[in-house]
Amino acid sequence: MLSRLFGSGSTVAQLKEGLDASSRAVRGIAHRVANAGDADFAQALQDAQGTAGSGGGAVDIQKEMVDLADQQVRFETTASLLQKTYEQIRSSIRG
Amino acid sequence: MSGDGGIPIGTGGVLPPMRGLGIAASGLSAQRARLDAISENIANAETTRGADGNPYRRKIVELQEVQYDPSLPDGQAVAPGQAGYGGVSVAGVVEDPSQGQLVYDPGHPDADANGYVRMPNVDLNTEMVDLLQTRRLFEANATVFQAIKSLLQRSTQL
Repeated sequence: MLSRLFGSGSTVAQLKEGLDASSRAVRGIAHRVANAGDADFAQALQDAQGTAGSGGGAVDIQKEMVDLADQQVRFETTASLLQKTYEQIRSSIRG
Repeated sequence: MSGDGGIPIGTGGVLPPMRGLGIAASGLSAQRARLDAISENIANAETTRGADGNPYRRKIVELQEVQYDPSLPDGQAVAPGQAGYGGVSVAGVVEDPSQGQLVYDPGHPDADANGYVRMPNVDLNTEMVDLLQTRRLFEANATVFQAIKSLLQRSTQL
């Protein structure tokens, strides 16, 4: 019974995966922003993405900041959902 | 000027949830090192005689990516600056080898036999543009740091 509430495939597990995904995405953003002023990194990123260089750094700060805001909202929403789910489980245990 | 580029968070391993903070902090240190170099360059824009007797040469901070491995298993601790941790480090500070301008000023104590003085190869316009870029990147890293901090804070309130 409890495995259906907490086990794999449950709402809790799925939401937890969502939080993990957001954390990973934010860590990637942190790495790209930290290296935004590095010419070698810009070249490596361009090679990895297969895009032609446009002169400046390949890291688009604006895009990274938008992605960051997006991930923040996702994380906040998922965390609220997880909190509500825990509250439901708690109230169903207490009856 | 510090060229260590060290990340001032912890000396031991840092668990992955805190890794984002370390990465953003490395970006902050890197931009601060660039800021140091720029202020030294501007301060010495007219220094015609350095410690070695030659005109001052523009300092350039070289940044290096610290390899980032997003697939590091959870619970495995990695020290900041170690390969796989991610972020950026200061590889070193190099001098711009280009020659500065020759200015005719026979009264100058550093003037050569023909009355010319070799000026430092510091271009104020270049430094100002670098300064703007450095400040923007510093702010971007600070924003990321703040964002990760609030995510961590939120996850403690579940």
